Amino acid sequence: MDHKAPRVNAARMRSYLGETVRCPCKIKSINGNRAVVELADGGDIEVSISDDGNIRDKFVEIVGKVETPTTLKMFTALNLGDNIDMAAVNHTIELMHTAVMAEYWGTKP
Amino acid sequence: MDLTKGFCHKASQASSSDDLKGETPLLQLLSIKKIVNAGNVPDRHRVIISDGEQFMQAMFATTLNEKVEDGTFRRNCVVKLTKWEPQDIKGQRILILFSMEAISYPEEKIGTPVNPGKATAPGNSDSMAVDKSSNAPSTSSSDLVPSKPVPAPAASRGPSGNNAPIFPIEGLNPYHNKWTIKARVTMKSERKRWSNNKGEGQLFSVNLMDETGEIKATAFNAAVDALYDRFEEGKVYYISKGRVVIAKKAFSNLTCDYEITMDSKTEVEECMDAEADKVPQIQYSFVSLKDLEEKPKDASVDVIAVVHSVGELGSINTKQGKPLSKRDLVLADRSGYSCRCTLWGKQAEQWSHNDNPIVAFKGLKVSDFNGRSLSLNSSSTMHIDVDMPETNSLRGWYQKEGHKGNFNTHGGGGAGAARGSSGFKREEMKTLLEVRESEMGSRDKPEFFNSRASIVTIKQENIAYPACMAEGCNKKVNDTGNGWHCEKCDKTWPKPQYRYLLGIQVADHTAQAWLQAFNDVATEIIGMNADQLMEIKDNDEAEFQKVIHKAQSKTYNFECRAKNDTYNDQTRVRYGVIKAYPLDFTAETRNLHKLLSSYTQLIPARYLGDV
Repeated sequence: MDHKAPRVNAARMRSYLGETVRCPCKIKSINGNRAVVELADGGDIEVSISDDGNIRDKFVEIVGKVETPTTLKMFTALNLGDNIDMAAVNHTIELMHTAVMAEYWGTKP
Repeated sequence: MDLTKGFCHKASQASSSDDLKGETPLLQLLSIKKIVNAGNVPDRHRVIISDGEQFMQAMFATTLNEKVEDGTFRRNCVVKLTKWEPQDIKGQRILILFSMEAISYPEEKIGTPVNPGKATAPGNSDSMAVDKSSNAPSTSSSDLVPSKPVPAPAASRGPSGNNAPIFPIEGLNPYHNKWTIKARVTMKSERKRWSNNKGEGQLFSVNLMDETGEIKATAFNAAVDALYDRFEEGKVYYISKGRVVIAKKAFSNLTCDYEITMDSKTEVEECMDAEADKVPQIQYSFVSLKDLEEKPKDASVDVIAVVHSVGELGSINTKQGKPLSKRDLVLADRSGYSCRCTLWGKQAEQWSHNDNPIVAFKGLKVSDFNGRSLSLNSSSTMHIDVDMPETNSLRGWYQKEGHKGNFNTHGGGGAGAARGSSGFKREEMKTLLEVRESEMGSRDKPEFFNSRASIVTIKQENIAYPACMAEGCNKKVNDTGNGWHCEKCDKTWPKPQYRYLLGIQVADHTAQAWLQAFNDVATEIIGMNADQLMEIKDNDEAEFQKVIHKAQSKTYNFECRAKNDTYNDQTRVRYGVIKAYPLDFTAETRNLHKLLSSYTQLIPARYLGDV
């Protein structure tokens, strides 16, 4: 799988240094080309936003490259509306990282 | 061919077939005589059986009638008798034959059997008064073994001029016709007349009850004129010389396996003595209006409630085209719920109680119309302001609270919101494969299921039918050329209102199925009402395809009813959509989490449980 981008939360970022991941998140603040967002498990990271600035909704899924455990370089964003149950999302991310599921989702448990 | 000699001799003496320890004798049938019965009572066949040495009288059980009529069991036939019981009728011993196998068909009588004269059989009819050892009144259970003469309850005395002891209703069976019962009429029906290609007829029936049970008694044709006025609901009568037959449970709400047919020989005498009061009154087991939600459609319930309001007398056309009066009452009780109750025919016309009476109903039919509603049928009874504790407590409640009219109802959601709770029950979801493999709906009662599936195809023919525009009437109207006519309402409309009858093919990851969506559900799926879609279909094929296409591939949570349906002699299971819920992703996700949490071998403990 060349273009895989597993979904992660803040705690899992450290397993994917230098790799592409997806982060469902809530936008906390945007300052020019940097944004602070809250990931599914409640942890915050910093995102360097790409120029097309596609971010519209309160909840967004950002696809990007993990630079450090707390920073992400954004490639693109998907708007997810204003009504996402982040707890359910987080539970799903954790389930995808179990030993059995890792095989199917390309995650690192 | 050797017959089982000695069998007749032993059978004449036996008190039951058990005495001969399961012997299955070979016997020859010497002559058969058919006894034709009137009305709906089956014919009987008397027969003389021989064991080669002796012959004796016998009678075929009605279950063997077909085989006698078609000649399987005929004169001179040799049979192996596998099930039988002795019975004494009018001092004569006869055998009732329940099952046998035909062995051979010789031309002649075998041997020269004789009849040794009136056998001294133990237990002739007088012994009804003798205390036989056995267990209490034999129950009229479904296996056709006739009961032995039952010990009579010592206290009761028969009607004047006849000292025959009283028989309990529970002990009645078709093989014993010397009985007198003492029972209260708990329900008396109207005279019902019919005419079909066999001719005309009339009948009426009463439900009779004593301390041991309840049984229905019906009189046909001439007997109706003779007996109709003799019975009054609530009174106690001595009844004898009726014929006990197998019950037709489809026409009755009673559970008794037998019924009585009353004819010109039947005797009915009112019970005047003080003993009459001992015969129990109608037994009720009341259900509160709130609890109706748990009763399924077509259940029979007893209700006691206040009549909060009375509707106007209306009329509908029955399937035969005849007008039928109807009237709706609104009932309310202490559960705080109200419910509609429909009266029909004379009961609807004659209703004149407008002072919020307390009514005790027995045998109301539950329907899922508007959530839950009730109606009276031919076995229902209705008693106004009966003197019982429930009546008084209801009256007190109504005066203080109930008259204000703040009731809950089971309504909303229209016809088909049968299960009374809104919302899609995810815990009860099934895959389409599970629905098909479990053959839901193929048994007698409709079954319900929930499935999440995506629409694969929408059938483009016959998507809607022209319907009557009258409020609440959805019947198909016919194009007379001069307007659209509704048979039920007898009205003609300038144009019809189209209602959907959408066939949709849905699939999930396991299987596919065709569902039927009616007007409300289909309108949601298509996104416009049937009139609008029909207009587009007639005028703009491309636009029509666009609309259909847009509706396909959508996924819904379907709440469905599976039910057997007969159309043109073919019976198939049909799945109807009660409601189609759009997906709620959060709820679906959480439900999936819940399902996953049960896979403890796969998912480590720390991930288990709800989020």
